[in-house]
Amino acid sequence: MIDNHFKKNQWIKRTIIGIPYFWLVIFILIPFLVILKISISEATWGTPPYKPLLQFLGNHIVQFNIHLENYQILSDMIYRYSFLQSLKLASLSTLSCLLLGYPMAYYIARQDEHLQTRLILLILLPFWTSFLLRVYAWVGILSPSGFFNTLLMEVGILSEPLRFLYTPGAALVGMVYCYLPFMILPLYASLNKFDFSLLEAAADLGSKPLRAFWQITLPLTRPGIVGGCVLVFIPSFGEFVIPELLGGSKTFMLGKVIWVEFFTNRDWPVAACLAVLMVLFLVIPLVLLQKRQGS
Amino acid sequence: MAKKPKVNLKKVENWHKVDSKPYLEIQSVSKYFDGAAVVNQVSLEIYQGEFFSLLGPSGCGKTTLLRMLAGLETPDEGCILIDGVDMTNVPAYERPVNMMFQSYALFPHMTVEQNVAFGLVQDKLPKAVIKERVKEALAQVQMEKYAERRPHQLSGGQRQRAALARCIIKKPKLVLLDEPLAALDRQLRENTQFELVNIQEQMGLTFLMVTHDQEEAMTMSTRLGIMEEGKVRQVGSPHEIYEFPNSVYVADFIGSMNIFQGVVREESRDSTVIQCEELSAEVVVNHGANAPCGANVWIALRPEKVTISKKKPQRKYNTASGIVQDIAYLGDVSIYLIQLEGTDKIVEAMLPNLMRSAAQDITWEDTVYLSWEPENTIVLTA
Repeated sequence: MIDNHFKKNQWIKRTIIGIPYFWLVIFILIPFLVILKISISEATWGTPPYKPLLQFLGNHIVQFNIHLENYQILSDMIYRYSFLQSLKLASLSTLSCLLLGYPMAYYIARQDEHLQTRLILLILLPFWTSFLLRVYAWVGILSPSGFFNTLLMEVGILSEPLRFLYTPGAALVGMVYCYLPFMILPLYASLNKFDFSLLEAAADLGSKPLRAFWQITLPLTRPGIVGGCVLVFIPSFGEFVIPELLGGSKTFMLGKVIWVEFFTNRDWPVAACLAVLMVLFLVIPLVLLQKRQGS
Repeated sequence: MAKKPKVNLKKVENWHKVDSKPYLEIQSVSKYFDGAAVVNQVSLEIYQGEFFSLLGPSGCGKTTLLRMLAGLETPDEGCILIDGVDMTNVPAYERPVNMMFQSYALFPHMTVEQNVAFGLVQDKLPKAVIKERVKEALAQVQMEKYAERRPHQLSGGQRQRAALARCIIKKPKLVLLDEPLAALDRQLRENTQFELVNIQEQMGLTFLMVTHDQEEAMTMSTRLGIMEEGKVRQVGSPHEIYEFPNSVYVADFIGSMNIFQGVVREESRDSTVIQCEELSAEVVVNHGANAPCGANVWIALRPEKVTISKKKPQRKYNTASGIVQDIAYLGDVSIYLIQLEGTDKIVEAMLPNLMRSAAQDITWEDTVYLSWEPENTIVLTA
């Protein structure tokens, strides 16, 4: 009887854990393997625009068409440029989100519980409208005759409109705007658990507020900082929509390059190569990080 | 509860010397939260080397007062002087004061050693000096073995010791303890009481403790202050507070007390006669009551100072009769609850169990006679 119950419990447990695993395998692992396969195939004209990996030539002869040369794109200037620009913009947007988000999360966590809920709701409010719409709104704000320029000229700071829209800077502003909540939420979760009386103890022992922040608050909220940075950096690095809408032609991030290779040049193997490299670049540091935290 | 203070007798009683200067002066300090006074015009003087306790029920303002001394709250009125220097507006990190928090507030990401060293690191002392002093402080609280542990790897008692070491390592002018033993279990609490007092005496530090546990306060303190609703009601040695309470509140708060309301009938310098409604006989006290004839006063009697017997006493005053309602056998003593004749009033009397085998001759439903001495009778006017 007890044994039966236990078995049933085990079965339920396995099912509950199994569903997300199943999901991940079907919708992430398999598509990734498909991409991996395309990345080592040879490009050709046709549909699909790459040669199959295995070719049966008859007489039990199988030909492997593994084309690792695709990965030589790394030596190409244009790809290296776009990789570095992605790295730069993603790093900058992560840093900006951290610098903007930390004080916000800190302030929210110090309010009474009732107000905290409301403030968090406000942070989440933009998600109630379409992402695309919110990015488009920035076109209106940043354009030469837009809100930002009109205001600055009205006040007299500018004599002629600033050509800010369609620059990498505008893309950065858009990314910071879109990803800020992803930084604030994990930071808030960390700070909410943080025992602020520790700061009183630090002050009591002679630590000035800023020093106490470095010595106590920062190390104890590190999980939130790491979590927020990961959540902002990863989507920023491969971001396509925001630089496309706000960044103009000088913004040539990896997402855009993959798009161009895939749809304009119809060079699927190169696009797949870039995608695989990007995933590796993002996953390897994460695995290392997790290993370090685990030990 | 009637345990006498055990450890404070050998102390130099500075506060009895007329010319000694207070080390900590709290001058009519008030603090308001939402318009209500949490600490109301409190003035206190504490001397070097004292172990002073603030005792009161929760919400009486004792912790707020302590936090103002630490610099974690600013007084709305009044000032605080430590060793003659005005500290009222000095921030916490510049005060020569260290506090042990009720939650201990140990830094969870640091080892015990790092926690204890924290205060010295802030002062930018040389590493070798810090190491030496941390070792010393850890030895003092017998925590050398746990130097490398993190707070979450420690038991409650060990955490308490680590917090204590952290707060005495800077040899502050004033050590503040916020309910230092509240989180410990009973056995540990009793041992720790003596250890705390020993450390305080050895290091010659001035301790100010906040507690709601009267036994703790009585056992450890050289003097204590009884607080109620933001005010200090009485300051004195444990003996003074127990035997000479100055108000019904203090009398009732410390230990058990039988209290009767009465009216002064005769008053002279060395004798007062009081008539209580609940007592048929008159009450005689061998000192003046500071109250005129006809004034309302209260009579307070400690249970251990009331004797009971089945024989009717000879004298006509300081006596009453009643029926035994309940007996609580506590081993060393027994407590008798006696309902006074013709009233609902229950009086508590405590008798030592002097004989091991003797069958108690007083039992339930017996009619007994209570009596007490004039010098053991407390008269209160407030």
